[in-house]
Amino acid sequence: MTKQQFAQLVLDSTDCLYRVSKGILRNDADCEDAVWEAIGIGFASLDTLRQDAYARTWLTRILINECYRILRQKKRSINTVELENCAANPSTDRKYSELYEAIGALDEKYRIPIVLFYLEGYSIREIADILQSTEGTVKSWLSRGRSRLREIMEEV
Amino acid sequence: MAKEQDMKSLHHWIFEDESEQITPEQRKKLQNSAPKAPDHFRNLVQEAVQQQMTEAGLGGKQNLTQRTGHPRHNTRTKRRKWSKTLFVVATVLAVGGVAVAAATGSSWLQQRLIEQGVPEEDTVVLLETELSQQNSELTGDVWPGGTPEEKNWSDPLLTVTEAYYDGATLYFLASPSEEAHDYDLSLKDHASVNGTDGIASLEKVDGEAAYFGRIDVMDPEAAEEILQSDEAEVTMTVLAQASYDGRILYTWKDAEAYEEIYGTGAFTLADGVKCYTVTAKDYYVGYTPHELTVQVPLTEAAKQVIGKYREEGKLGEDHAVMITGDDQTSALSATEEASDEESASNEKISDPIDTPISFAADGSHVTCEFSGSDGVLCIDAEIVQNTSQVYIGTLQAEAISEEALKALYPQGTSDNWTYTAGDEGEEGYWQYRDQNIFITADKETAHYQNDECETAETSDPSEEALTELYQQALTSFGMEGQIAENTTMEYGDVKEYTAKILLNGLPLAWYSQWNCVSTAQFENGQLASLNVPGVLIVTDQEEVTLLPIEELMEHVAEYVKEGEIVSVASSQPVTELSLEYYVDLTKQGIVFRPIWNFKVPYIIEESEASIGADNYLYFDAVTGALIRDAYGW
Repeated sequence: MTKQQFAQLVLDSTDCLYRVSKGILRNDADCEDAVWEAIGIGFASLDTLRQDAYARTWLTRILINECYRILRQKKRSINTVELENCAANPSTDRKYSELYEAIGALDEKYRIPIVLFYLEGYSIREIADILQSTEGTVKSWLSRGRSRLREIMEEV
Repeated sequence: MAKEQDMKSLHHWIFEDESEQITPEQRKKLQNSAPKAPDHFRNLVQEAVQQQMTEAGLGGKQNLTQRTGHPRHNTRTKRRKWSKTLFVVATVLAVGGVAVAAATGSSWLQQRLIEQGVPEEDTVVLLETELSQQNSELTGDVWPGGTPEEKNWSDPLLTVTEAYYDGATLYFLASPSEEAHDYDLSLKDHASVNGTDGIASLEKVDGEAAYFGRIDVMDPEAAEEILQSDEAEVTMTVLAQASYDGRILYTWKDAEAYEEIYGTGAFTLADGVKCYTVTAKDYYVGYTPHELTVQVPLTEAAKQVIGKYREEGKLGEDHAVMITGDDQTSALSATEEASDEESASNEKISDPIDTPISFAADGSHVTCEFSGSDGVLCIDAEIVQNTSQVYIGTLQAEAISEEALKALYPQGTSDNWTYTAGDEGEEGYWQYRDQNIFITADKETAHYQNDECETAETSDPSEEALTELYQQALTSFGMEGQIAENTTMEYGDVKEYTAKILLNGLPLAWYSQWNCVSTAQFENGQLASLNVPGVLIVTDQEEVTLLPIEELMEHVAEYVKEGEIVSVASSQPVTELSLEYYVDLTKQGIVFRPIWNFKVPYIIEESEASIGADNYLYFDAVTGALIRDAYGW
């Protein structure tokens, strides 16, 4: 894949990059840091991308790794109270739809697969690749996540 | 109203739809209910891309567009703290003709064609911008819902700015009048092209003051006749309805809103949106429609382009018409095509095993082919069977001890680890003091992460050394794994490996309902991260006899014949049959049984329709039953 093609893919994925990073990090500034680093790593490592067809999945994987890296850095540098403000929680940030807010209220291990599968359209296999897990586990997360989503929506 | 209906649909999907799948339409609705990237984020992505392109010496050449509903302007006023490079102003990105044109909407169709693989020079030939158009306002009972409210429009609702006909569908881009900006425009679902009926649709171009329309000519013979003529004249009815602006619209379908409104007059939602009523009549019947007639010239040059690219599948992606030969065209309707396929398929169904099962002399390879209503399953596969002594049984999961995980960081000392409890529902974690080294663990999975590898002295160990390191880690947990490098997701200096955990000498299947796979990343020759499932201990097992492969294949043939395998194998042959254990979660606990994993090379499908399609095939190695997992996928 050429840098030109990768650049276009990044631009076309802007909303996806935002939603995915927002699924892990709460602050837009942290999301920006993560996506900035991910784009830099993506361009620098483009020659290691084995197949063009994986480019979007690959970029998402890099972004998620960067999001978690930022989250871990926060864990190291700030206290727990501040940490709560770093993790994603759209319900107290700005107003989105009831459903999206319910997704934001899910535990992280369910939230990310839900966002990737239902919102961003990744296949189970791709999510397993992105999250370093198995298809069976991803399906289990999705199934439990959706059950939890029902509970949250009913509580609302 | 559209948003309200979207939300209802999503609620229905969440609460009542048993399927775990989501349709493309539902996904679109879900995306509409989620936030789009705000301008500052969008600008940052542009800046990051621009910086990379500039550094690569491609700064002034790119013709990149950001498909967005937001104006492209740079709101950032300060340098990012971690960047040493001056940012190039984001607007430089938009120097390409397409990007500029996209902002005005005039070359949106051209961009769409380019995305379909039609070279820019041919799109210029194909697109017609010299169009003549007539409009007339329609009055009276022109809509089944009743007579629209009369409204005198000062200008035609739509002006078609560019169009092309590809031999089956007429596409156009149109600008709404100033007045029409305040209304939702749509088309009556039937329109005519050269007097032939077509199915019409119109959608707003996201973020642009433009509409994209298409008229599908359903009769392939008529569609071909239109292509042979000098001009395509399309006549359609443009409808204007009240824009949904966040208010709840009272409709006869919305009893809840009715009761709320008539109980309280008006009310305010929790998020502060003031709700009141717009009559259903206004919304559903709308205001005085326009009849719009557009003449689209069909030049010889355009026809040549159409002929060329239809053959390559770059035009008419979902059309009934097929072209054969150089200058000869023949029409074949989708119905006829389907009918042919169906009859061919039926012929095959009468004999589900199309080609006889054949084995290599040593029994290590099998070849056969089965047909059914959902396609053909081709098997040309190696048989990988590590042992013929197989069992069914039950397992018990145990968490990996913290001590074992902490030992992955050999430089550490036990008193430097601190534990932070998680919030409700969240995991707690161990951290090595003042370093980015973390551990989380429970019965299902354990995770070790060492970000300090990032800054460690670079070394370039062999693959064997890394595999050995990984195997040692697994051994320390009492596990054995089949380790392989996973190059698909690697980037930079990070090396990634996966390990299938072994049980009784056979690998545990990836699609098991219990997590049975471990992954590891190495950076600068050190273990940077490790995911590992909990330890599975056999509590009870009995030996079972495997079904002979010939009998297994009879079961497989039957499943294919009955159409119970929606398989990507239609396009990809099964290349390996691997004997593995499937780990299931049942009322009796964690159980395992031997299965044959029919491996199909994995190809990422771009099509949304393929999402969720089966990409694995597991058959019980004792009974021949197709494995259906617990989650309804």
